[in-house]
Amino acid sequence: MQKITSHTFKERLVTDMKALLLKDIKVLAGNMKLYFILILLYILLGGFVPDLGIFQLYPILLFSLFPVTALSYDERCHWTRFGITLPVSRSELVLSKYILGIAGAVFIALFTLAVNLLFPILFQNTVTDFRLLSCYLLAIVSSSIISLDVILPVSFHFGTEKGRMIYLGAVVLLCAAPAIMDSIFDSMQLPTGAAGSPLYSGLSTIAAIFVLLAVLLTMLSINICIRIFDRKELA
Amino acid sequence: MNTTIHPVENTAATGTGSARNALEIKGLVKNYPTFCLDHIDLTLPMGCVMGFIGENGAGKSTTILSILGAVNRDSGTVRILGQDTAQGIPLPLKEQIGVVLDECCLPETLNLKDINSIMQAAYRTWNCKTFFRYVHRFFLDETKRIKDYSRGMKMKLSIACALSHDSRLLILDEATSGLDPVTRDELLDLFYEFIQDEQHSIFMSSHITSDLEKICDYVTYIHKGKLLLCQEKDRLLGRMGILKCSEALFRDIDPAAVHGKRTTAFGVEALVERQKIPASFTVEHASLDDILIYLVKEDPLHAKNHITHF
Repeated sequence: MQKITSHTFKERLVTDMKALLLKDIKVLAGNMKLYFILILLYILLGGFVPDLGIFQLYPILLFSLFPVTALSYDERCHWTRFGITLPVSRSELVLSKYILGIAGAVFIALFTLAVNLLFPILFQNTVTDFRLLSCYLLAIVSSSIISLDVILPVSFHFGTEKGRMIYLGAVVLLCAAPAIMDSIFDSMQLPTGAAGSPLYSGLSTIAAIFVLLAVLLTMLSINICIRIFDRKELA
Repeated sequence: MNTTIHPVENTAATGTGSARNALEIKGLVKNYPTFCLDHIDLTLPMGCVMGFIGENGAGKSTTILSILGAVNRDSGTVRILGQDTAQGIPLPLKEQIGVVLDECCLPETLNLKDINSIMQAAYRTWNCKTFFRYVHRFFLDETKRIKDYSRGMKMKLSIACALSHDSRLLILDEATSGLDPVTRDELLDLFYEFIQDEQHSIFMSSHITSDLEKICDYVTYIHKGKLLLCQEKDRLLGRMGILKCSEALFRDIDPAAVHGKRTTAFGVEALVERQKIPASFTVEHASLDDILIYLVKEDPLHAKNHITHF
């Protein structure tokens, strides 16, 4: 009989989380193949559009909210009741959803960045402003993560159906991020991508604020979610 | 009806050596608005099989979920394989517990290879060869998704998962319910193989008492959240019997020997302790089914609120 030693932190982070993430990815991939294809097409289409907007926003938003979809599939098959019998803790079950959402949003943002940098060069003979684009994407990723921070605790507590109502409010929040940036650009009456302008250098600060907010709210949200789930009855 | 209350007789081993017991529950209480799990005490010795019997809604699943930490218990202690689980089941201990719930809780869009890779990532002691050996033994189609499996196939898959890591304790919550007799017999053979190792134990809840009669060493009866008895199966079945006689003759029976009674058009049928019944009476064999029915079903003509303990 193999001797079982205590799970080290590294083992828990790598092994236990890997099992949970693998499960979610396989479930989502199995159920949402068409969705993934549509998102991919959306991103590629966005590479041909000169202005930053919905083509960059929508895919990142969707990917960051996949944990809620994964949670709804868990509810359907009562996975959580079985999941806690595996050698994983309740907090890991919660954490895996955050990692899924954040990693998904970051991955798609990087892909969107690459497409929006390459496509103008390849097909339009223009060069996208890297700084503008990256700040814009940072703000969107951060807003997506903030949406997740709001939805996940509600979904864990009340279920994903009620969580979706909060999702609508979170979408408003997410859409506000580019709108806020646009209104700032307009009020300063400066070209948004003009290198050397004060606002241009301020873009990084705005993006950094979004990132900082996302980090702080994520830490708070994880804490709340773990407390909710620790007390939850899985009958 | 017999109103004598005897102390609950728990004849399972209660040695101080925690390694002797696979499962120890003391004073388990769980309160719901309309139901209460009331001071459950039971002990499953290592290397044994315990059948946890009760009618629908008796508290079997609640007890099992309390053991597993899926519901938070209000009081009481649970020790699994000698380890206290007051702060939750330690993760290394979960490697040694195989759980089969009353339904297959695996995501339906996955297939066997997906399940294998997920379990392999979750359990450090996961054995792929063992898993696929069970898969082939159960004739489970590797290409099909779980949603295309029948109920029996899903249950077999759950059991294959429970047996494919280094499980020492199997906890089964109505794992054979809803299955045909052939499948149930197959699964019982599997459990019998599992228990051949003296370090392996099984705690299984069921209301199919015929299955439990075949395999269990101990039986525990629960009724409306209360433990009625916890005893060795063979001893229980040897001790108890069904007496059928007229009302007049029944009046001569020692009330202390009677643990349940029904009045029919033909006379009285009672669950009795054989040793306390005069030899002139014929006492028939009582199955676990009979014992459960007589313990929990009240005579409508003489209904009184009481519980008979052993």
